[in-house]
This record gives sequence, C-alpha cells and structure tokens, in this order.
Amino acid sequence: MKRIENRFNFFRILCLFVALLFALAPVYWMLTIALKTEVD
Amino acid sequence: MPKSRRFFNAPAKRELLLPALLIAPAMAVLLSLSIYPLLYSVTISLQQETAAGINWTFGNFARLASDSFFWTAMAHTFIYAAAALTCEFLLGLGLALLLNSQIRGRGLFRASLLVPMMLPTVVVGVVWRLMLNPDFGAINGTLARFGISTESLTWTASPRLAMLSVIAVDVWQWTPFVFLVLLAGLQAIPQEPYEAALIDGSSRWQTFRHVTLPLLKPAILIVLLLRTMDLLRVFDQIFILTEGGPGFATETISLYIYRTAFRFFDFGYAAAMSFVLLALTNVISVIYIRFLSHR
Amino acid sequence: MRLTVLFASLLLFISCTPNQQSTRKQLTLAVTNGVESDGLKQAALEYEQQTGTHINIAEFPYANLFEKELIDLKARTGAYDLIMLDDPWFPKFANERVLTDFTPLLQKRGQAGPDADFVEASIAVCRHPYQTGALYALPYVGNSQLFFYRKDLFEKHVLKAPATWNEVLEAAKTIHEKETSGANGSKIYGYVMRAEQGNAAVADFMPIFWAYGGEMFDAGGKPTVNSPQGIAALELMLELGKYSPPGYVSFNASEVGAHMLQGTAAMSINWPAWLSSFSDPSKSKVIGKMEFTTLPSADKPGQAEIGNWLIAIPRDSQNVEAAMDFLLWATSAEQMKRSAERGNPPTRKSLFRDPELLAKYPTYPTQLRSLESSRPRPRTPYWNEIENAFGIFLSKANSGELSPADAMNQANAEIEKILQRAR
Repeated sequence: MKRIENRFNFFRILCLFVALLFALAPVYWMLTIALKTEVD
Repeated sequence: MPKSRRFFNAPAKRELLLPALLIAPAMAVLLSLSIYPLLYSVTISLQQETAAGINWTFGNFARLASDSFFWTAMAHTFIYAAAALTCEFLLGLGLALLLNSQIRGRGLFRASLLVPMMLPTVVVGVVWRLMLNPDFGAINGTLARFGISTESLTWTASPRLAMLSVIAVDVWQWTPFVFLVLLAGLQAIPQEPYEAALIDGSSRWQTFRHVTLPLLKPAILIVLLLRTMDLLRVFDQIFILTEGGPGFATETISLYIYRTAFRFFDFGYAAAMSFVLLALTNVISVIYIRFLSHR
Repeated sequence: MRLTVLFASLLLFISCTPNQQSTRKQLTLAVTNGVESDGLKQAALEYEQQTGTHINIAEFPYANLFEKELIDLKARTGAYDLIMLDDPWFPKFANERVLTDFTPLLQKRGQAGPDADFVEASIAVCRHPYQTGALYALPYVGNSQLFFYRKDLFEKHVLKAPATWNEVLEAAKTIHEKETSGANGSKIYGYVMRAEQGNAAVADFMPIFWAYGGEMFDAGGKPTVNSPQGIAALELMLELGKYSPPGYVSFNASEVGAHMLQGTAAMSINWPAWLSSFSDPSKSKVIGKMEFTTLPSADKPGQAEIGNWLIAIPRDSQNVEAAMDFLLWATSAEQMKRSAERGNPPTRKSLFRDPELLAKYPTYPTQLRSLESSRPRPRTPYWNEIENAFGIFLSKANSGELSPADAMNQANAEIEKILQRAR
C-alpha cells in the first residue's frame, strides 16, 4: 500500500510541476519583455 | 391591528427613520447607477431615430432576425464559452484533486498556481498578444527551438487558430479560479463518507463518482455559473488579442455590441442586443440551478 | 451645536462657488497616438512658450480617438477645444453639426476664406459638403499615399521601377523567390500590406480598387464593389498576399512599418509621415536604400488615397476664439515649415516648393504630385459602418475564407443594407 502511495505522490508532484510551468512561464516572459529596452 | 402591520411586525413610524436614512445613500447609488440606466436602455432599444424624429418601434429587435453578423457573433460566443468552460473545469478539477492531499510544498503550489488569475485581463491580453506574435513572440520562438516549424502558426492572424488562441488565453487565466473554488469545496467534504466507502471496499473511481462528486455539487454549481456568466460577456482579452478578427473569426457578441454602440453610434440597436444577451444569460443560469440543485 | 452646523454649512457654501478663472488661458487638444501627431504636439509646446497659453494634449490610439471625440461632441461637454480628425471621419462629424463653421471666424480676422496657399485637395476635404460647402476644419498633416520600394533590390535583380500593379506583382514574385536567404539569414518578402479588418485593409485596398476601375458607388449612389473591376482588384491583392509575410492578414501600420524598416519586405504602400523614420539610424536598417514614388496604375492612372489629418473646433468649446488663434498660428506658412522640418508633411503648396525643405526632403515633388492628384475615400456619414463591413470581407478574402467574388458580393449586399437603414 505504501509503495503505491509513494508512486502516486510522485506522479502528483510531477503533474503539479508541469501545471506550475504553464502557469508561470508567461509571467516570466512578461518580466523579461518588461526589462528589455527595445525589441530589435 | 391591521393585518399587514402584524405580518411584518413593523415598528412605529419614527423608528423607521434611522434605518431609512442609512439605506438612502445606497439606494440612491443603486437607483442612479443600476436601475436608471437599465430603464434608459429599455427605452432606447425601443426607439429608432429617423430624419423626422424619434419613433417608438420594435424595429431594433426585428433587425436582429436578419443580421447575420449578430448570429455569427452569438455562435462564436457560445463556442468560446463552451470550449473554455470545459477545459477550465476539467483542468481545474484535476488540479484541485491533485492538491487535495498532504504532499510537500502544498501551500507553495497553491499560491503559485493562483498567479494567472490575479493579473488584470487587459495585461493578460497584451502579454499574450506579444507572446503569440508569429515573428518575434516567445511561443513560436520556443517551438522553433524544439525544431517545430512555425511557418503556418500565425495564431491570432490565422482564421483556424485565432479562436483556439483566445480560448487558450482564457483557460490560462481562469483555470486557477475554478481550481480555487473546487479545492475549497473538496476540503469542505468531511472524512466520514470516505471512510465508509473505504470500508465498503469501493475503488478509487467509484469513490470519486459516488462520494466526491455529489458532495462537490454546490461548489461545481457556483463555479460553472460564475464562469459561464463571465465567458458570455468576454470582451477585454479578445479585443486586445484579435479585435474580432481575422475577418470576424473571433468576434463575440460583446465586441459586436461595443462596435455598434461606439463606432456606428447606433445605441438603440446595441441596447436591443444587450437585452437579448441578458435574457439568454438568465435562461442559462436558471437551467444550471435547476439541473444541479436537483436532489 | 447650532453654531457648529452654521459654520459647517457656511464653509460648504463657500467651497461650492466656482473657482476663479485662472489668468493663464488653457486649451485642450485631442490628438492621435502615432507619428502623425508629432508635429502638432511640438507646435503646441512652442505656442505655449510664445504666448503663454497652455495646451493640454489628450492622446488616444486611432481606434479610440474617433469614439472619444464623437461622444464628447455629441454630449456637448466642451471638454475639447481642438480635435484632430482623420479625413474619412469628417463627414460624420460635420453631419452631426457639432463643429464650428470657420467662415465667420475667418471673416472676423479679415480673411474671406482659407489661404489660397493650401493644396486644393486638402481644403476640399475640410468642406461639408465635399469641395463646395462651408469650411469646418483646416488640414495639418498632408498625408497622401506613396509607394515605397527598395531600389537596391530592384537594381540587383534588374527590375524597372514599378509603374503598374502587374509590374509590382512581377517584382514581388522575383524578389520573393530570389531573396529567400538574405545576407543576415532572414527572408525578404516581396510585398507587405495592412490587411487587418477595418480601416487598415480598406486604406491599403482602395488605391488598387480605383486603379482597376472599381468604384464604391455608381452615379446613382448604389454600391458597386462587386463589379468585375472590383473583383479583379481583390484578386490582385490576394496575389500580392502570396508574397507577403505570413500573418499579414492582421497587420496594421506598425507591423508594415517594422517590416519595411527592418528590411524584411521590399515594397509597400505607406504614408509620408513615415518617411523620416527611414533615414533615422536608430529605427532604420535600410537607410539610403528606399525609393518613394506615386502609386502604380492599372487600367486607370494610379491615384493615391488622401489621408489628411484635419483640425476642427467643436461647436461647444468654451474657447473658440483662442482655439482659432492657435489653429491659424499653427497652420501659418512659417509654423508649418518648422513642423515640416520635424517630419510633418505640409499642406501648403509653397512649402512643397521651398528650397530649404526640398534639400532636406527630396521626395517633396513626388508628395505634392501625389497629394494634388489624390482622391478621398467616399464622403458619407456612414463611412465607419461601411468601412467596417467592407474591411471584414476584405479580410475574409485574404484569409482564404471567401473567394474574391463571394467576398465582394457579400460586401456589396452589406453596404446596401447599411444605406437602406440610413434612409
């Protein structure tokens, strides 16, 4: 039971990381655009 | 004693003065900013201006029948709402289920996942417009780095992809909201039903279907209702991303109403369209409430 | 207690009296956000230095400027004393009778009418009805379209200067095929245009439409965009689209400007207000490589579309006389010359022939030719709706959703509906 639980937990965290990536990547890009002086 | 007095248990007249005065400012605001404009809209939707003067007529509503732009815009709005709602609901539910357990960093995940919905819609629109730019944008840039050809991926300029792009932006921004409400709903469910289900030997899926979902119904109702009302009214993101284009492909009803009112200055017709939208939203809300609160 | 109430109400009463009119005069000017208003904004600053009258500048993007101005003028708030108008908007404003007639104001100052030095085409669009009616505005930005092309690429591929639209198409095809990998690794497109639905698409399409003999309305006022000539013109636009950057279907002025300045496109229609950016080292990668000429012909001689920015005074402005003083000062030959030196295309004939300006802007003779033979978009108060509908169908044709014939037929039907509602 515990091994299945651990594997499931790992899967959860992986999914959450992917979701986090999608949620925050545009915010990161937005900051980099804001900090650039001129788009060449 | 008069029957009405008894029924409302009304205090003497003098005691009503203070409460009335306290409500008065709020009532004034409500009347002037909500009721009066509403009544005014009804008035102008029933009027048409001609060279001779102003006539009272149902003409604005009759015009709806033959206006193909109106029906296309309606269709676009519904497609947009249905697609965005489905994606947001499924993703939001998934995220809520994932975070409804004692994993490490739970608080951090929850806080970070909420960021998109905290940005103003206008900002989101502008940022995504820049990112979706086919030549200089981050999306195509990243895809190119993975070796994917981006020649035909013109996102907001492509009639096929434009609708998809605006839906994607909405899903990105509002899934966290659905996630938040559903998570709160999940955490409000007590442990007993779960324990009972475990004892009865039900599988994961069965537990989900027969324990979780029914107990989550109120939260689901609220989130679907709120999102639907918002999606039917969508304006900001689409206006900034595509302005309704290319060639009307992403024109939703709010955009069309805005254009009619402020570019063509036909306020009567715009008011008539707004009422149709209002009526539809009401009908849909009633359907939701009936359907989902049915025991 | 009673004393407090008395005192408080006295204070309230005093604060309600109107403010003293500040001795410094103020005018509010509504301008568009773009290169076209740079000259005017500078002129406003100089006016303040010279006369002490402060001019508040309210700047809006093109799309919003129209709404803001029309809403304010119809609501008669008098918030603006001077407004910039794109000439296609003028008929609507004049029709709504919210502009001040200039003739009495000019007569008060000893002038019978506008200066004869103004280019006729520019003054004509300031009159309601067109050309013959009373004067309600003065032209400030003398924009009329020019054709921009890369003479270095033309020389390289031994192409002659494009005089007809067929030659443009041939040249676009050649350059597109041969310049697939430029020296800096980027592709060069044969042509670039504005095709975003609405004002952008229509503005870039009309010259082609007219050159092919298309007319929006016939002599009786019925829409005829779906004539064989009109459809042929749209077909040419689609052909040019094949050699344009992908995504051109939603391009507007900034994207077209960016492509031309970066050197990634070889030809385009554009406005003279962009000329100065081409010789600006901080913006242009193609300094000295561009050539500007009048618009190509097809069955009819090429006619530029006029796109002057006019300045009018709302009827309900509180400072009509002061506003007129500023306007006459700003449109005087001396001030317009200074504005021209900063890149603003003038609207006075004498300035187009001025030797000092000619030395700085060798394209002036071309611009004057373009302006004098230019043609305005149809002068109807329903232009906004017509442009919107027409623009949608042009965009649909360009994105492949409708065939050229279908697009024009549907556009024609839609314009017909708009005119019928007007009756």
